[in-house]
Amino acid sequence: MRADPAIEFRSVSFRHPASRSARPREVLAGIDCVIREGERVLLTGPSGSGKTTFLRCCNGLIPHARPGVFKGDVFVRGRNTRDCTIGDLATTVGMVFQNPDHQIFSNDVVSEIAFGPEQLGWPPSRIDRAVNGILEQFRLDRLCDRQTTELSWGERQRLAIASVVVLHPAILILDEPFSGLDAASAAGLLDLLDTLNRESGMTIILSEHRTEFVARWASRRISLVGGSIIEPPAPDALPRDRRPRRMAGPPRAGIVALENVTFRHPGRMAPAMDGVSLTIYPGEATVLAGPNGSGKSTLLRLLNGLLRPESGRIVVDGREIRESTVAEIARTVGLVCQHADYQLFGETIAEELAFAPANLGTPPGVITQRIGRVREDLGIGHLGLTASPLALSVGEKQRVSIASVLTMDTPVLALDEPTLGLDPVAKQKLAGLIDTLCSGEKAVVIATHDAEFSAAVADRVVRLERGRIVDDWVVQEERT
Amino acid sequence: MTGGDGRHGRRHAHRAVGYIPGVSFLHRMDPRTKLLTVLAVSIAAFATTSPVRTAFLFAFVAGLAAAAGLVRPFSRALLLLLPLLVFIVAVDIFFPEETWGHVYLSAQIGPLSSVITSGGLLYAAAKGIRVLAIGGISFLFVMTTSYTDFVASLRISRLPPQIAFSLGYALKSMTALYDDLRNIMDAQRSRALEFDRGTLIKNRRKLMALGVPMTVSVLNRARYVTEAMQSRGFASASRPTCYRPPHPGRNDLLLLVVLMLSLSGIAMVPI
Repeated sequence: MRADPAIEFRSVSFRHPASRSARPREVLAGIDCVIREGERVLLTGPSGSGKTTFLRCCNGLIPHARPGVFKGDVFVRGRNTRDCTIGDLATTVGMVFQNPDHQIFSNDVVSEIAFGPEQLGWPPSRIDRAVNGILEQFRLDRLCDRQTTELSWGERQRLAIASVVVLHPAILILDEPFSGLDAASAAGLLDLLDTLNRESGMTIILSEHRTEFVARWASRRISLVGGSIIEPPAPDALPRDRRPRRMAGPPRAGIVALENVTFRHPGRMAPAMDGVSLTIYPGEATVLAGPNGSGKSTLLRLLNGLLRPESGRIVVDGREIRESTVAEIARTVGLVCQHADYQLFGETIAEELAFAPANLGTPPGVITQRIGRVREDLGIGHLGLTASPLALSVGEKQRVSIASVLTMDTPVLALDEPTLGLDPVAKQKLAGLIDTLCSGEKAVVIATHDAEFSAAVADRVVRLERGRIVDDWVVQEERT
Repeated sequence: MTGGDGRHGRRHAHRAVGYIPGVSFLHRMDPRTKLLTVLAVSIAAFATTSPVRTAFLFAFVAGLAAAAGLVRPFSRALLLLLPLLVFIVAVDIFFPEETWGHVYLSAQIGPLSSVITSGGLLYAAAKGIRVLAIGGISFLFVMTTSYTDFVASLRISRLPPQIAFSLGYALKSMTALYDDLRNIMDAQRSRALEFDRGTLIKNRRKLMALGVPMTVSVLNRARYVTEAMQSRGFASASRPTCYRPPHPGRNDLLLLVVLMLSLSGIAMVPI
């Protein structure tokens, strides 16, 4: 016997208001779909295909909180979302957002978990029991006296889910919950979701680009392309056919070298970088691996002078960078920081792509050439040059952000979690681009948790733990 | 009264302004008591034009910061007021509201007449110290009041939840804005933007490189937080519970007594 419908979409379409999008179109285009109780649904699709919009329809944020033209009906356990408020649905549908920082707003762990029960008017004794139970279930009890700002990304993600699950919703929706998580944290999170599904029959719907964690766990896959569900669902992108680029040869000179570098963040006792020595070579893609908080981002920021070492030396292109400004170092090391929203400000994509090379004094003709090449390499030509970068989807913004550093044409490119929000096709394009850059004797350093991407691009993997290098191996030598 | 930044506080003490977690007597106080203190100090500062009285008022505020073990972050925060301080004092020295005593300079600059007098100098000093006193007590409030406690105290004061959470979110944003600003500056500096060089026209562009991402970040954060709150049933019950509400204690009473005695004492200081 088939389970009852948990969520049902009937001819659902949604279009953002024209002013909010450079390319007004239907984000969802006539979706018909039934998700049944107890299902574990994996929602996939390229960037901008409508996954987040689909999820927001499930708990009433669309049509109640997001402006736009909404057509059709969504039923949650038989209730039409048009006829309920978002608050009415909160006990039935729990929603975990993509970025835990956008969801957590209390200073401490307990207050954050208690927020939902408070709003529903539960008596304090019931809140006490619920909070204690969820702290134990999510293994957050050792963190209960910590400030939310002091938690690692993985811990914040767990807290964000715990503060939703505390209301015991029948349906749990998660928007890219694995992005930014290291392998161990991702495995732990999947275990947790599995337990919730098995023990309480919770229906779980999650969207994800990093399908390596969830593809086998999910009982069903829904693929969205251009706002429509495609049948049969699209498979995961195939691994790239990758030929070894470099064979063992004579010793080469490094382009960046860290010599016994130690760095401590202000006010912290433990060093974020503890006596690290590392040489980065031209023509090589070096992946920095390691758990959240191991020092990957810190190392990248040391490379381009945003952070200065407490002790030790950093040599870039034969010159110690102690006295150099970040702008001077940027001629050699281009860094793409996490979160494109912190970077994009131009009125048009063209302006954004020209910004960094113009700062370096590159002639306009050369800038135009580079913009053309980079757009082609990263597959962002279809976005045009006159669209506003601020109106793009998360994945598109991320690609424009990477492109805006690539136009500097630096000998070293450093990428901090470059695959956040990228769909498999975009990841493949980026991997291909990294190959091309390395073939051109550029050095690429990538901090990432994305194991699939790492396997696709790494010539060398440097593993960090607690600010130290614990492993350093060359992929191709190992293969041969 | 114990002070000290505490284990957690040290990690946040590098911020110029923002909540610094800790266990000092100010941290443990009911936010309403602290809000009352901010109001009382501000009213007292506006009520006098005596540099001696405003200096005592500022000494009271600095004393609170010292007792809470927040001297360094407090001093750093006051540095942020420097441009405003210089502007206000300069305007009051050259174009004073009060002109009495010895005249040091009297000049006509176009349509403006400037007189520097001993009375004007004292008045300018009083205005400058007033800025420090009001700014200082406000910074202390921000540094020692967690968003969660502030919202809870407003809620048990029967303020509508929308207003309580909006005010609380404004307080939280002070910390978040600083972190955002640092990340945005890092991202732009990585694209070879030098903030301390260039002409006025180029600096306008630099301000855009900071201002646009800041605005986007603030608006996005506010929108997502609102959606997250709604998704968790915000204000869906007619009477939401206030879990672990703050309660005024002995420290609150003590501060109010010290505040009243100090203000009375300052009022009696001869001008």
